[in-house]
Amino acid sequence: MPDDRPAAEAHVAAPLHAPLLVDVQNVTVRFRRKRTFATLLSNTPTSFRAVAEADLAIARQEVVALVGESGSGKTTLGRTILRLYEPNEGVVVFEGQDITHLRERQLRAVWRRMALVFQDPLSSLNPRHTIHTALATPLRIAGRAASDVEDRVKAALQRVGLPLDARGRYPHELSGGQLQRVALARALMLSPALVIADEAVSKLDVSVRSQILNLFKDLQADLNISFLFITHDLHVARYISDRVAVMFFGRIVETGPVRSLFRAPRHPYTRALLATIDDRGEDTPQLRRGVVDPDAPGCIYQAQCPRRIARCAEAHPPTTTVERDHTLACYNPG
Amino acid sequence: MSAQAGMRETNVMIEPPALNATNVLQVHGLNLYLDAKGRRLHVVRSVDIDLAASEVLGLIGESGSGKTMTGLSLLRLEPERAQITAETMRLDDTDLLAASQGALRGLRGSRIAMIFQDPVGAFNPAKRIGWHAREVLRRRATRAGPWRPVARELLAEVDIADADRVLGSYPHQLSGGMLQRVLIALVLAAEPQVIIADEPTTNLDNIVEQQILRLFRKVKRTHGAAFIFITHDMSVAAALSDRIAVMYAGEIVEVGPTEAVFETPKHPYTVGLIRTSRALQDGAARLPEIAGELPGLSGQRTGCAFAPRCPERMPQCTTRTVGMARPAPGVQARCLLYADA
Repeated sequence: MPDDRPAAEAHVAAPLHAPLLVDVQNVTVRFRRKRTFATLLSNTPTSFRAVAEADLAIARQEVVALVGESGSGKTTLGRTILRLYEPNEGVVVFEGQDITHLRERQLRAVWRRMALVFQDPLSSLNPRHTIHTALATPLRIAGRAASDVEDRVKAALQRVGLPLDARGRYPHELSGGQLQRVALARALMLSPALVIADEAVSKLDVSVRSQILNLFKDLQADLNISFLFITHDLHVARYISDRVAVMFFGRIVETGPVRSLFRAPRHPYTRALLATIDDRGEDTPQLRRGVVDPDAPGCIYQAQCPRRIARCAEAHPPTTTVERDHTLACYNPG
Repeated sequence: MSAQAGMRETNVMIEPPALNATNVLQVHGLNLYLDAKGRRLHVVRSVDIDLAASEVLGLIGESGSGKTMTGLSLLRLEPERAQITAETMRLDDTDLLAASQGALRGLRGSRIAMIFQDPVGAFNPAKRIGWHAREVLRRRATRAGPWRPVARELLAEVDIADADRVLGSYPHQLSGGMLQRVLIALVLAAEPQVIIADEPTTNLDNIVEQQILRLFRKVKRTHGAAFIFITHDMSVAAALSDRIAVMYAGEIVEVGPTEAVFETPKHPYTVGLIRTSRALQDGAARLPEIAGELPGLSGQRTGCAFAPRCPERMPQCTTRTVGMARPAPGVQARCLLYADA
């Protein structure tokens, strides 16, 4: 592994037309609501649409950040790509294979090519298993030879910057940063093609977060994996990713290469979101505080949009490509 | 980065704090010990806090730095298995260490109040917001009368337009940002001298967070309360505070005016924190790291707590007791680099 590689800059974003690793087409995910007497009376819809008609592509070796606020459906979309959820509509293609409706037995082979890193590493590791067990288990399940397992666990610990004596430790003996390193090492055990990191650094302290973000960047460059980085932190998204997709109430409203999206956001929601990081607490244009009704016809953002026009109430705008790799769903972009 | 210029008109004008105003809160040599599974942790170590009337102090630290325990101690809400010692701990003329439980109950909410990270926990889930508002207003010394108009006024102050709907709602029916607004309104209603806000925007989305920060800046101008703003987020602290105190492993390692701390940080830990947060904000290609991990809190400590991670470490850092130095006017740093300055 070349250690003299100039940091970060050396990594060139794979253009979108390169072979796609993940291709999410027009995916809708609904969750059934619990039916109670109250829901019957109030006539609430029986299902909740967490993701609506989403398109998202991830090229090989690409890092895509999925940003949005809590409840925007970014975790649901991530888990649909992992096929932990089965979409109600649309298609999920992974490495050229349609995995939308595969059964669990067939998915097992697919799952060896994907991994998930959670926000809270402590709760994602079994408290009664040593770090060695946590790292060796994926290999054992995949049927690797015992001698091979030993070497791979050692290599994995080194790769994420943990001492070898961490093998005998239990999760509660490690700090948050060390645990996130373990979680990352475990995700990489089977050399996946795709790692989905769901708010993987948002619980970490400032001084530790920088270490882990740098580690993510190094691993991505060294191992040629694709990352889907789910985060609400725009600075993190900009630091880590090649391309950003912005979600609002289940819909992807804008996607684009990180530089151009941060320089010239087009969707009013993206603009409002980016305004929050320019200077905190300064007077940015007041946002309308309309209540979003995801079941109403028209654009999902219309209740809060300062640029709303008559058309916005008719139907949600179709996603169009405005520039190379830059897509937008808006009738009246800024 | 204080926030006076060019802001909208407000209904009440408060004189800016005089430079040598008497301190509403005086804490010297505060220590907090916590018994955890047979081990005694020294969680807060010789902390001094002097808070002037209507001053905003940003208390920055990472998890385990002792910032929340410091905040809880000031309300004497420390956990039962904790012991507190202090040379001085006064709210105005009241000795917080000596005060009886009854006296403390009288103080909390009315003279010193706390806003928590999770607003949901501050409300009774079975009661409407209006009930909570009435409870708070009942305790206020002012005359009895219809509470609803007063409550409406309070909510208007935190930019809630549809007050009647909110007053008729149960806590679970409101969003996190809305609840945090309501909580701020209720805390302000009692007109406490000191408000301690512990990560009040950490659980909120970016846009809502910004709205709440703006609200804090507004109430900072309209109310005379002094604030202690506990946060791990440097930009939040910078946006709100007059002064910054940085905590590391139970100690305050640097304290000074906000601009001085952010522009010319002295303690190597503060320097590292600010460099790495700024690099992330400015879109740097690579983040500078602070190597290593936070130290444990058990037992005696010789030398500087940050020494194992410090890029400026000197031999004496691990052997000598490190006191506060004064590297610049109004700035204190617990670092031997400045010991003879």
